Amino acid sequence: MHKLLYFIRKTYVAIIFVILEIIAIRSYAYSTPYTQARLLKASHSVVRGMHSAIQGVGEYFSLRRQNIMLTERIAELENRLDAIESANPDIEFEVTAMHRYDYIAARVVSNSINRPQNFITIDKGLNDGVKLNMAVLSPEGYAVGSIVNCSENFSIAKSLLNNTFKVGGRLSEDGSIGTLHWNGGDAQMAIFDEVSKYANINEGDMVVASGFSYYFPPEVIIGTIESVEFPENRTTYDCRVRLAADFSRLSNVILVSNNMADEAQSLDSTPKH
Amino acid sequence: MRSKVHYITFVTVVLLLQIFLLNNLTFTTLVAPTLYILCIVLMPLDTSPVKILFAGLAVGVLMDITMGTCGLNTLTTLPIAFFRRSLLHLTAGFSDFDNEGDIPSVKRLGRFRFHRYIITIVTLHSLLFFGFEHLSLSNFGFFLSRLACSTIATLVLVYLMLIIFTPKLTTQK
Repeated sequence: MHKLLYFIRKTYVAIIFVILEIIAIRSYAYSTPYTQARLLKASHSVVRGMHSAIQGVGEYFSLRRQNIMLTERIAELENRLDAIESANPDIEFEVTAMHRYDYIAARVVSNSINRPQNFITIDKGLNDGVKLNMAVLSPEGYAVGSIVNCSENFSIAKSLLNNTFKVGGRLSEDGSIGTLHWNGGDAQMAIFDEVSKYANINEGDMVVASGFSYYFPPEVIIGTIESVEFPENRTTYDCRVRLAADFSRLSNVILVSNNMADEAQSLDSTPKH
Repeated sequence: MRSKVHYITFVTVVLLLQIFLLNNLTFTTLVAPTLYILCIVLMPLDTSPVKILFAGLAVGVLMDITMGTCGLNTLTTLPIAFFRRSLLHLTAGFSDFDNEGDIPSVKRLGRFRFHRYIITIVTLHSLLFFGFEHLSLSNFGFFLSRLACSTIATLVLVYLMLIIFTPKLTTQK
Protein backbone atom coordinates (compact mmCIF):
# COMPACT_ATOMS: atom_id res chain seq x y z
CA MET A 1 0.00 0.00 0.00
CA HIS A 2 2.85 2.37 0.90
CA LYS A 3 4.61 1.46 -2.32
CA LEU A 4 1.44 2.17 -4.29
CA LEU A 5 1.04 5.58 -2.62
CA TYR A 6 4.70 6.33 -3.25
CA PHE A 7 4.30 5.33 -6.90
CA ILE A 8 1.20 7.53 -7.28
CA ARG A 9 2.95 10.48 -5.59
CA LYS A 10 5.89 10.07 -7.95
CA THR A 11 3.84 9.73 -11.13
CA TYR A 12 0.61 11.62 -10.48
CA VAL A 13 1.41 14.39 -12.99
CA ALA A 14 1.94 11.81 -15.74
CA ILE A 15 -1.26 10.00 -14.72
CA ILE A 16 -3.24 13.27 -14.84
CA PHE A 17 -1.65 14.10 -18.20
CA VAL A 18 -2.60 10.71 -19.71
CA ILE A 19 -6.19 10.96 -18.40
CA LEU A 20 -6.65 14.53 -19.69
CA GLU A 21 -5.07 13.66 -23.05
CA ILE A 22 -7.34 10.63 -23.49
CA ILE A 23 -10.40 12.78 -22.69
CA ALA A 24 -9.24 15.45 -25.18
CA ILE A 25 -8.53 12.92 -27.95
CA ARG A 26 -11.87 11.21 -27.34
CA SER A 27 -13.70 14.53 -27.40
CA TYR A 28 -11.94 15.54 -30.63
CA ALA A 29 -12.42 12.11 -32.21
CA TYR A 30 -16.17 12.15 -31.68
CA SER A 31 -16.59 15.83 -32.69
CA THR A 32 -17.10 15.11 -36.41
CA PRO A 33 -17.60 11.96 -38.51
CA TYR A 34 -14.33 12.75 -40.35
CA THR A 35 -12.17 12.83 -37.19
CA GLN A 36 -13.97 9.77 -35.86
CA ALA A 37 -13.24 7.78 -39.01
CA ARG A 38 -9.61 8.93 -39.28
CA LEU A 39 -8.70 8.46 -35.62
CA LEU A 40 -10.46 5.10 -35.34
CA LYS A 41 -8.67 3.91 -38.47
CA ALA A 42 -5.35 5.10 -37.01
CA SER A 43 -6.02 3.43 -33.67
CA HIS A 44 -7.02 0.17 -35.39
CA SER A 45 -3.83 0.13 -37.43
CA VAL A 46 -1.77 0.80 -34.27
CA VAL A 47 -3.54 -2.02 -32.40
CA ARG A 48 -3.13 -4.36 -35.39
CA GLY A 49 0.57 -3.46 -35.64
CA MET A 50 1.07 -4.16 -31.93
CA HIS A 51 -0.75 -7.47 -32.21
CA SER A 52 1.43 -8.43 -35.19
CA ALA A 53 4.62 -7.44 -33.36
CA ILE A 54 3.68 -9.40 -30.22
CA GLN A 55 2.59 -12.31 -32.40
CA GLY A 56 5.92 -12.19 -34.27
CA VAL A 57 7.91 -12.46 -31.05
CA GLY A 58 5.69 -15.27 -29.75
CA GLU A 59 5.98 -17.14 -33.04
CA TYR A 60 9.75 -16.92 -33.01
CA PHE A 61 9.92 -18.67 -29.66
CA SER A 62 7.42 -21.34 -30.70
CA LEU A 63 9.21 -22.25 -33.96
CA ARG A 64 10.82 -25.33 -32.43
CA ARG A 65 7.48 -26.66 -31.15
CA GLN A 66 5.84 -25.95 -34.52
CA ASN A 67 8.62 -27.72 -36.40
CA ILE A 68 8.20 -30.84 -34.28
CA MET A 69 4.44 -30.69 -34.74
CA LEU A 70 4.69 -30.28 -38.52
CA THR A 71 7.15 -33.15 -38.81
CA GLU A 72 4.80 -35.40 -36.83
CA ARG A 73 1.88 -34.29 -39.02
CA ILE A 74 3.83 -35.04 -42.22
CA ALA A 75 4.79 -38.46 -40.87
CA GLU A 76 1.16 -39.21 -40.01
CA LEU A 77 -0.07 -38.15 -43.47
CA GLU A 78 2.70 -40.18 -45.14
CA ASN A 79 1.60 -43.22 -43.16
CA ARG A 80 -2.04 -42.71 -44.14
CA LEU A 81 -1.13 -42.24 -47.82
CA ASP A 82 1.05 -45.32 -47.70
CA ALA A 83 -1.80 -47.32 -46.15
CA ILE A 84 -4.23 -46.15 -48.88
CA GLU A 85 -1.72 -46.87 -51.67
CA SER A 86 -0.96 -50.33 -50.25
CA ALA A 87 -4.66 -51.14 -50.09
CA ASN A 88 -5.26 -49.90 -53.67
CA PRO A 89 -2.02 -50.64 -55.60
CA ASP A 90 -3.64 -50.25 -59.03
CA ILE A 91 -5.08 -46.78 -58.50
CA GLU A 92 -2.95 -43.80 -59.48
CA PHE A 93 -3.52 -40.85 -57.16
CA GLU A 94 -3.35 -37.33 -58.51
CA VAL A 95 -4.66 -33.95 -57.46
CA THR A 96 -7.58 -33.23 -59.76
CA ALA A 97 -9.00 -29.84 -60.61
CA MET A 98 -12.30 -30.72 -58.96
CA HIS A 99 -11.77 -31.90 -55.43
CA ARG A 100 -14.04 -31.48 -52.45
CA TYR A 101 -11.92 -29.50 -50.00
CA ASP A 102 -9.43 -26.67 -50.45
CA TYR A 103 -6.95 -25.84 -47.71
CA ILE A 104 -5.39 -22.44 -46.96
CA ALA A 105 -2.71 -21.92 -44.30
CA ALA A 106 -3.07 -18.71 -42.25
CA ARG A 107 -1.51 -16.98 -39.28
CA VAL A 108 -3.43 -15.97 -36.16
CA VAL A 109 -3.23 -12.21 -35.56
CA SER A 110 -5.23 -12.13 -32.35
CA ASN A 111 -7.08 -14.71 -30.30
CA SER A 112 -9.03 -14.53 -27.08
CA ILE A 113 -10.00 -17.38 -24.76
CA ASN A 114 -11.20 -15.55 -21.65
CA ARG A 115 -14.56 -14.16 -22.80
CA PRO A 116 -17.95 -15.83 -23.19
CA GLN A 117 -17.75 -15.16 -26.93
CA ASN A 118 -14.22 -15.60 -28.27
CA PHE A 119 -13.07 -14.81 -31.78
CA ILE A 120 -9.87 -15.39 -33.73
CA THR A 121 -8.50 -12.83 -36.18
CA ILE A 122 -6.39 -14.28 -39.00
CA ASP A 123 -4.17 -12.65 -41.60
CA LYS A 124 -5.93 -13.97 -44.73
CA GLY A 125 -9.01 -12.40 -46.29
CA LEU A 126 -11.13 -12.26 -49.43
CA ASN A 127 -8.06 -11.53 -51.56
CA ASP A 128 -6.57 -14.88 -50.47
CA GLY A 129 -9.72 -16.87 -51.25
CA VAL A 130 -11.17 -16.95 -47.74
CA LYS A 131 -14.97 -17.26 -47.70
CA LEU A 132 -17.64 -17.12 -45.05
CA ASN A 133 -18.31 -20.34 -43.12
CA MET A 134 -14.97 -21.95 -43.96
CA ALA A 135 -13.86 -24.37 -41.26
CA VAL A 136 -10.83 -23.40 -39.18
CA LEU A 137 -8.51 -26.17 -38.01
CA SER A 138 -5.38 -26.14 -35.88
CA PRO A 139 -2.10 -27.14 -37.59
CA GLU A 140 -2.57 -30.65 -36.15
CA GLY A 141 -5.95 -30.85 -37.94
CA TYR A 142 -8.17 -30.38 -34.85
CA ALA A 143 -11.42 -28.35 -35.01
CA VAL A 144 -11.03 -24.70 -33.97
CA GLY A 145 -13.98 -22.71 -35.37
CA SER A 146 -15.45 -21.24 -38.52
CA ILE A 147 -15.11 -17.99 -40.47
CA VAL A 148 -17.84 -15.45 -39.73
CA ASN A 149 -16.48 -12.26 -41.27
CA CYS A 150 -13.93 -11.36 -43.95
CA SER A 151 -12.31 -8.15 -45.09
CA GLU A 152 -9.93 -7.94 -48.05
CA ASN A 153 -6.85 -8.98 -46.07
CA PHE A 154 -8.16 -10.27 -42.72
CA SER A 155 -10.86 -12.60 -41.45
CA ILE A 156 -12.56 -13.28 -38.16
CA ALA A 157 -13.39 -16.78 -37.05
CA LYS A 158 -15.86 -17.72 -34.35
CA SER A 159 -13.94 -19.98 -32.01
CA LEU A 160 -15.25 -23.23 -30.56
CA LEU A 161 -14.77 -21.29 -27.30
CA ASN A 162 -17.82 -19.18 -28.09
CA ASN A 163 -21.07 -19.91 -26.30
CA THR A 164 -23.08 -19.24 -29.49
CA PHE A 165 -21.15 -21.82 -31.54
CA LYS A 166 -22.56 -25.31 -32.02
CA VAL A 167 -21.15 -28.14 -34.11
CA GLY A 168 -22.40 -31.62 -34.85
CA GLY A 169 -20.14 -34.30 -33.38
CA ARG A 170 -19.91 -38.07 -33.63
CA LEU A 171 -18.33 -40.67 -31.37
CA SER A 172 -15.60 -42.23 -33.50
CA GLU A 173 -15.95 -45.66 -31.79
CA ASP A 174 -19.70 -45.95 -31.56
CA GLY A 175 -20.88 -43.67 -34.37
CA SER A 176 -23.54 -42.00 -32.19
CA ILE A 177 -24.09 -38.35 -32.92
CA GLY A 178 -24.58 -35.37 -30.63
CA THR A 179 -24.10 -31.63 -30.41
CA LEU A 180 -20.93 -30.01 -29.13
CA HIS A 181 -20.92 -26.53 -27.59
CA TRP A 182 -18.96 -24.52 -25.04
CA ASN A 183 -20.59 -23.17 -21.89
CA GLY A 184 -18.11 -20.37 -21.18
CA GLY A 185 -16.08 -22.03 -18.43
CA ASP A 186 -12.81 -23.92 -18.83
CA ALA A 187 -11.04 -23.16 -22.12
CA GLN A 188 -10.10 -26.85 -22.46
CA MET A 189 -13.53 -28.36 -21.86
CA ALA A 190 -16.75 -28.36 -23.91
CA ILE A 191 -20.16 -30.01 -23.58
CA PHE A 192 -21.22 -32.86 -25.86
CA ASP A 193 -24.91 -33.58 -25.33
CA GLU A 194 -27.99 -35.00 -27.05
CA VAL A 195 -26.19 -38.35 -27.38
CA SER A 196 -28.68 -41.21 -27.54
CA LYS A 197 -29.13 -43.29 -24.35
CA TYR A 198 -28.42 -46.41 -26.45
CA ALA A 199 -24.92 -45.21 -27.29
CA ASN A 200 -21.99 -47.19 -25.96
CA ILE A 201 -20.03 -44.30 -24.61
CA ASN A 202 -16.86 -44.45 -22.52
CA GLU A 203 -14.38 -41.98 -21.09
CA GLY A 204 -11.50 -41.48 -23.52
CA ASP A 205 -13.65 -41.99 -26.63
CA MET A 206 -12.83 -39.59 -29.42
CA VAL A 207 -15.39 -37.04 -30.68
CA VAL A 208 -15.02 -36.12 -34.34
CA ALA A 209 -16.98 -33.84 -36.71
CA SER A 210 -20.14 -35.62 -37.82
CA GLY A 211 -19.79 -34.46 -41.42
CA PHE A 212 -23.43 -33.37 -41.45
CA SER A 213 -22.28 -29.75 -41.55
CA TYR A 214 -21.37 -28.53 -45.03
CA TYR A 215 -18.20 -26.92 -43.78
CA PHE A 216 -16.34 -29.17 -41.33
CA PRO A 217 -14.89 -32.16 -43.15
CA PRO A 218 -15.98 -35.43 -41.51
CA GLU A 219 -13.59 -37.15 -39.10
CA VAL A 220 -11.95 -33.87 -38.01
CA ILE A 221 -11.02 -34.49 -34.38
CA ILE A 222 -12.79 -32.24 -31.86
CA GLY A 223 -11.74 -33.79 -28.56
CA THR A 224 -11.98 -36.76 -26.22
CA ILE A 225 -14.69 -37.68 -23.70
CA GLU A 226 -13.60 -36.67 -20.21
CA SER A 227 -16.72 -37.62 -18.22
CA VAL A 228 -20.16 -39.04 -18.95
CA GLU A 229 -23.38 -38.22 -17.17
CA PHE A 230 -26.88 -39.57 -17.65
CA PRO A 231 -29.28 -37.10 -16.01
CA GLU A 232 -32.50 -38.42 -14.52
CA ASN A 233 -35.68 -37.83 -16.54
CA ARG A 234 -33.60 -37.46 -19.72
CA THR A 235 -33.15 -39.76 -22.67
CA THR A 236 -29.75 -38.48 -23.74
CA TYR A 237 -26.23 -38.43 -22.31
CA ASP A 238 -24.43 -35.26 -21.28
CA CYS A 239 -20.65 -35.51 -21.67
CA ARG A 240 -17.72 -33.28 -20.95
CA VAL A 241 -15.19 -33.21 -23.75
CA ARG A 242 -11.54 -32.23 -23.49
CA LEU A 243 -10.92 -30.19 -26.64
CA ALA A 244 -8.07 -31.45 -28.82
CA ALA A 245 -6.91 -28.01 -30.04
CA ASP A 246 -4.81 -25.94 -27.65
CA PHE A 247 -6.48 -22.55 -28.05
CA SER A 248 -4.04 -20.76 -25.76
CA ARG A 249 -1.09 -21.52 -28.04
CA LEU A 250 -2.79 -21.12 -31.41
CA SER A 251 -0.46 -19.27 -33.77
CA ASN A 252 -1.24 -20.89 -37.15
CA VAL A 253 -4.45 -22.34 -38.54
CA ILE A 254 -5.66 -24.20 -41.61
CA LEU A 255 -8.80 -22.94 -43.37
CA VAL A 256 -10.91 -25.53 -45.15
CA SER A 257 -13.40 -24.66 -47.85
CA ASN A 258 -15.95 -27.19 -49.04
CA ASN A 259 -16.20 -26.75 -52.82
CA MET A 260 -19.50 -28.61 -52.91
CA ALA A 261 -21.20 -26.79 -50.03
CA ASP A 262 -23.12 -24.42 -52.31
CA GLU A 263 -24.37 -27.26 -54.50
CA ALA A 264 -25.49 -29.31 -51.48
CA GLN A 265 -27.12 -26.28 -49.89
CA SER A 266 -29.06 -25.34 -53.03
CA LEU A 267 -30.29 -28.92 -53.32
CA ASP A 268 -31.30 -28.86 -49.67
CA SER A 269 -33.32 -25.68 -50.17
CA THR A 270 -35.38 -27.11 -53.03
CA PRO A 271 -38.89 -28.41 -52.10
CA LYS A 272 -38.93 -32.09 -51.14
CA HIS A 273 -41.88 -34.33 -52.00
CA MET B 1 4.42 40.74 -7.07
CA ARG B 2 5.01 43.31 -9.78
CA SER B 3 6.26 40.67 -12.18
CA LYS B 4 3.17 38.55 -11.45
CA VAL B 5 0.90 41.44 -12.45
CA HIS B 6 2.97 41.90 -15.61
CA TYR B 7 2.73 38.20 -16.36
CA ILE B 8 -1.06 38.14 -15.93
CA THR B 9 -1.33 41.23 -18.19
CA PHE B 10 0.90 39.51 -20.74
CA VAL B 11 -1.22 36.31 -20.72
CA THR B 12 -4.44 38.35 -21.03
CA VAL B 13 -3.05 40.29 -24.01
CA VAL B 14 -1.88 37.10 -25.72
CA LEU B 15 -5.23 35.35 -25.24
CA LEU B 16 -7.24 38.40 -26.36
CA LEU B 17 -5.03 38.75 -29.43
CA GLN B 18 -5.53 35.09 -30.26
CA ILE B 19 -9.29 35.11 -29.71
CA PHE B 20 -10.24 38.41 -31.30
CA LEU B 21 -7.60 38.86 -33.98
CA LEU B 22 -5.70 35.71 -34.94
CA ASN B 23 -8.70 33.35 -34.81
CA ASN B 24 -10.50 35.63 -37.27
CA LEU B 25 -7.80 35.96 -39.94
CA THR B 26 -9.49 35.29 -43.25
CA PHE B 27 -7.06 36.54 -45.87
CA THR B 28 -5.60 33.08 -46.47
CA THR B 29 -6.19 29.52 -45.24
CA LEU B 30 -2.44 28.90 -45.12
CA VAL B 31 -1.79 31.06 -42.06
CA ALA B 32 -3.33 30.11 -38.71
CA PRO B 33 -0.97 31.33 -35.96
CA THR B 34 -1.22 29.66 -32.55
CA LEU B 35 0.27 32.42 -30.44
CA TYR B 36 -1.50 31.22 -27.27
CA ILE B 37 1.21 28.58 -26.77
CA LEU B 38 3.38 31.46 -25.56
CA CYS B 39 1.41 31.41 -22.27
CA ILE B 40 2.88 27.96 -21.58
CA VAL B 41 6.30 28.63 -23.12
CA LEU B 42 6.96 31.68 -20.95
CA MET B 43 5.62 30.42 -17.61
CA PRO B 44 8.13 31.05 -14.80
CA LEU B 45 10.86 28.43 -14.66
CA ASP B 46 10.05 27.35 -11.09
CA THR B 47 6.36 26.64 -11.81
CA SER B 48 5.50 23.12 -10.68
CA PRO B 49 4.74 20.54 -13.44
CA VAL B 50 1.16 20.07 -12.26
CA LYS B 51 0.48 23.83 -12.40
CA ILE B 52 1.90 23.98 -15.95
CA LEU B 53 -0.28 21.00 -16.91
CA PHE B 54 -3.46 22.64 -15.60
CA ALA B 55 -2.46 25.95 -17.21
CA GLY B 56 -2.13 24.02 -20.50
CA LEU B 57 -5.54 22.48 -19.92
CA ALA B 58 -7.13 25.87 -19.19
CA VAL B 59 -5.58 27.54 -22.25
CA GLY B 60 -6.47 24.56 -24.48
CA VAL B 61 -10.09 24.42 -23.30
CA LEU B 62 -10.48 28.21 -23.68
CA MET B 63 -9.13 28.04 -27.25
CA ASP B 64 -11.36 25.07 -28.06
CA ILE B 65 -14.41 26.97 -26.83
CA THR B 66 -13.53 30.11 -28.78
CA MET B 67 -12.44 28.29 -31.96
CA GLY B 68 -15.15 25.59 -31.76
CA THR B 69 -12.55 22.84 -32.20
CA CYS B 70 -13.83 20.39 -29.59
CA GLY B 71 -10.57 19.16 -28.02
CA LEU B 72 -8.00 19.85 -30.76
CA ASN B 73 -6.28 22.69 -28.90
CA THR B 74 -6.41 20.85 -25.58
CA LEU B 75 -4.92 17.66 -26.94
CA THR B 76 -2.04 19.56 -28.57
CA THR B 77 -1.36 21.99 -25.71
CA LEU B 78 -1.29 19.33 -22.97
CA PRO B 79 1.79 17.48 -24.33
CA ILE B 80 3.65 20.78 -24.65
CA ALA B 81 2.77 21.65 -21.05
CA PHE B 82 3.68 18.17 -19.78
CA PHE B 83 7.00 17.97 -21.62
CA ARG B 84 8.00 21.63 -21.10
CA ARG B 85 10.61 20.79 -18.46
CA SER B 86 12.11 18.03 -20.61
CA LEU B 87 12.16 20.33 -23.64
CA LEU B 88 13.85 23.07 -21.59
CA HIS B 89 16.45 20.55 -20.49
CA LEU B 90 16.94 19.11 -23.98
CA THR B 91 17.05 22.36 -25.98
CA ALA B 92 18.46 24.80 -23.44
CA GLY B 93 20.27 22.46 -21.05
CA PHE B 94 18.35 24.02 -18.17
CA SER B 95 17.65 21.96 -15.05
CA ASP B 96 17.75 24.32 -12.06
CA PHE B 97 13.96 24.47 -11.81
CA ASP B 98 13.76 24.88 -8.01
CA ASN B 99 15.94 27.97 -7.65
CA GLU B 100 15.07 29.97 -10.76
CA GLY B 101 11.88 32.04 -10.49
CA ASP B 102 12.21 34.02 -13.68
CA ILE B 103 10.58 33.34 -17.06
CA PRO B 104 12.67 31.69 -19.82
CA SER B 105 14.58 34.48 -21.56
CA VAL B 106 17.78 35.23 -23.46
CA LYS B 107 19.26 36.51 -20.21
CA ARG B 108 18.49 33.33 -18.26
CA LEU B 109 19.18 30.69 -20.91
CA GLY B 110 21.58 32.36 -23.33
CA ARG B 111 20.74 33.66 -26.81
CA PHE B 112 21.29 30.49 -28.85
CA ARG B 113 19.67 28.15 -26.29
CA PHE B 114 16.64 30.40 -25.81
CA HIS B 115 16.00 30.64 -29.57
CA ARG B 116 16.42 26.87 -29.89
CA TYR B 117 13.89 26.38 -27.07
CA ILE B 118 11.33 28.78 -28.60
CA ILE B 119 11.66 27.44 -32.16
CA THR B 120 11.50 23.78 -31.02
CA ILE B 121 8.44 24.22 -28.84
CA VAL B 122 6.50 26.34 -31.38
CA THR B 123 7.34 23.95 -34.24
CA LEU B 124 6.40 20.93 -32.16
CA HIS B 125 3.08 22.48 -31.18
CA SER B 126 2.30 23.46 -34.78
CA LEU B 127 3.21 19.96 -35.97
CA LEU B 128 0.84 18.41 -33.43
CA PHE B 129 -1.91 20.95 -34.08
CA PHE B 130 -1.93 20.75 -37.88
CA GLY B 131 -1.18 17.01 -37.87
CA PHE B 132 -4.27 16.30 -35.76
CA GLU B 133 -6.27 18.83 -37.75
CA HIS B 134 -5.35 17.24 -41.11
CA LEU B 135 -5.35 13.56 -40.00
CA SER B 136 -4.53 12.36 -43.48
CA LEU B 137 -1.66 12.06 -45.94
CA SER B 138 -3.85 13.19 -48.82
CA ASN B 139 -3.25 16.80 -49.92
CA PHE B 140 0.12 16.59 -48.22
CA GLY B 141 1.44 19.66 -50.04
CA PHE B 142 -1.29 21.85 -48.56
CA PHE B 143 -0.63 20.39 -45.11
CA LEU B 144 3.10 21.16 -45.36
CA SER B 145 2.44 24.71 -46.66
CA ARG B 146 -0.07 25.40 -43.89
CA LEU B 147 2.30 23.97 -41.30
CA ALA B 148 5.28 26.01 -42.56
CA CYS B 149 3.37 29.31 -43.02
CA SER B 150 1.60 29.04 -39.67
CA THR B 151 4.78 28.10 -37.79
CA ILE B 152 6.65 31.05 -39.30
CA ALA B 153 3.75 33.42 -38.57
CA THR B 154 3.56 32.16 -34.97
CA LEU B 155 7.33 32.58 -34.53
CA VAL B 156 7.21 36.14 -35.90
CA LEU B 157 4.38 37.02 -33.49
CA VAL B 158 6.15 35.28 -30.61
CA TYR B 159 9.31 37.34 -31.15
CA LEU B 160 7.23 40.49 -31.49
CA MET B 161 5.61 39.79 -28.14
CA LEU B 162 8.99 38.94 -26.61
CA ILE B 163 10.43 42.27 -27.75
CA ILE B 164 7.48 44.13 -26.22
CA PHE B 165 7.06 42.20 -22.98
CA THR B 166 10.41 40.64 -22.02
CA PRO B 167 11.82 43.79 -20.37
CA LYS B 168 8.74 43.99 -18.13
CA LEU B 169 8.52 40.26 -17.38
CA THR B 170 12.13 39.59 -16.45
CA THR B 171 13.38 40.61 -13.01
CA GLN B 172 16.38 42.89 -12.95
CA LYS B 173 19.33 41.23 -11.20
